[in-house]
Amino acid sequence: MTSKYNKIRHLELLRRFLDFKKQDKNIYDLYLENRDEYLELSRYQRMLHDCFFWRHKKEFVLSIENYINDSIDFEQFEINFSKLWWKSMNENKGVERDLELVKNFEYDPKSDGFGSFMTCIFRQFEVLEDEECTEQEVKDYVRDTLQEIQPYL
Amino acid sequence: MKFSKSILIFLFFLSILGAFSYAFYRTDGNVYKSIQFTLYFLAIKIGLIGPNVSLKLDYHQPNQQLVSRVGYNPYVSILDKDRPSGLLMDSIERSSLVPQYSYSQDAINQLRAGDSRVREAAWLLITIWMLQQQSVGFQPVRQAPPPPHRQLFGGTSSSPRNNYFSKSSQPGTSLQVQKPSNMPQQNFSGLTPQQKRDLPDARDGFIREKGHPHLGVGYNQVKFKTPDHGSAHRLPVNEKGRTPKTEKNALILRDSILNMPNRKNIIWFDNGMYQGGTIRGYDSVNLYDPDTEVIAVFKKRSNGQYSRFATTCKLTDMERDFFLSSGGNFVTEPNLKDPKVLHIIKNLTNTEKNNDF
Repeated sequence: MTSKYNKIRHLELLRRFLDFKKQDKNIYDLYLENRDEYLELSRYQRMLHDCFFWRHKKEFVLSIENYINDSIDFEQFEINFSKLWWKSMNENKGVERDLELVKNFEYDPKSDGFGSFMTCIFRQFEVLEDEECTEQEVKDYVRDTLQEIQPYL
Repeated sequence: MKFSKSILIFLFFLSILGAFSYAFYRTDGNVYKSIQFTLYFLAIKIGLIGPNVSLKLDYHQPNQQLVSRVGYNPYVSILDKDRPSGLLMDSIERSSLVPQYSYSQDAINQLRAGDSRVREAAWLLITIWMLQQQSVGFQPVRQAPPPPHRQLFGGTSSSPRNNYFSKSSQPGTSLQVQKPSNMPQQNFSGLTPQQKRDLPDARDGFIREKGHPHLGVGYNQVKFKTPDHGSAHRLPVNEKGRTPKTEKNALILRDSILNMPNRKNIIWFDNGMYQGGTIRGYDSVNLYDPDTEVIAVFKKRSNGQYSRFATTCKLTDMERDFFLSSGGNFVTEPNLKDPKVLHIIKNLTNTEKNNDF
């Protein structure tokens, strides 16, 4: 993913999409009618997404470290982490379709990809829930992720 | 007289034996509980414990039949409140819907008068009837018949209530998957947790939409997914961030999934996939709501039966991009970030390459 964020272009795309929605159309219609524009808008949305996760990076990392260091068990980790994940998602949701909020939004290039790393951990919970991996495998995955995000911190 | 006495004694022991074997069967071989049940049964028979039924013999309506309405009732709704949990038997009660086949006034009078032989005979009849119904204090699990087209369990009215389920259920019941009454314990024990969740349940729902594959929303699978996926369907979460795994919440989630085809902009991916191209992958029917980014995945079955609900969740932007580009392959973000896996997935689903996963 590119880390270049162009707010003017983002606002332009968002404005067009909001007009599109006024015609009783949705994101899937945009995908069908103008795939390139859809993907470009989606890319900016992901950047927003990363930023909102980035705002909670200390909490995310603390939760991960506590789990890796056995300060908390898996269940507590899943609870803490899931709450943070949903919190970040919901904050993002309020902004991504609001022109004024996007206008005032400050993009932090350091956040690029951070949200995706956190989502990957969150998704492991379902793999475990479906009994397709073990708690130890989740822990190993979380440990690897912590190493991968070190350059971000 | 001797002959009739012998019959009564024989029936007495038969009913005791029957009570024990019934309890043994219904408790999955729990001897202790079976003995308890038998003793309780015996205590009622010899009059140590007054049966509740006597209270129901209201002299104002002497000709009505004692009927235990057995709870196999697929018309279950979250809309009705305060129904005794778990037991689908509505308790023994009077019903005027059974016009004939009733006790005579005489017999009832004799029961009141305490005629032991008549009482014994009455209890034997009740016992035999109960054994036939297999409904005393246990919940029979039977498969609900498929409903008519899109009428979730048979509603015929246009009102939302009737188009869902007309009987209620209540939170707080056992959350274990129950063994179907006609399945041997050994077979049940040999099932994997997923296979147990796939067993039919009276609370299962179905989606039959013209022009699309038929879908089944298994109650046990929905219940299993409720804690972590209820919030995607706007169910409340507790202090742990999870939706409490109650029957009520599971039914709300089930109804939300059943209602997805009615959402304004819902999109069907009849030939979709779940994690297609990965070791966890399989063919599925996927319902996608672009307004909420929520999808529901229904695993296809090779035998041509209806596709079965597997999971539901809210897509991230990356997942949505791939999902749409691939024509309905729901691959989660960890796999999309793995270059090796992504390469295989893209080849499998012919995803166009000018996107930036």
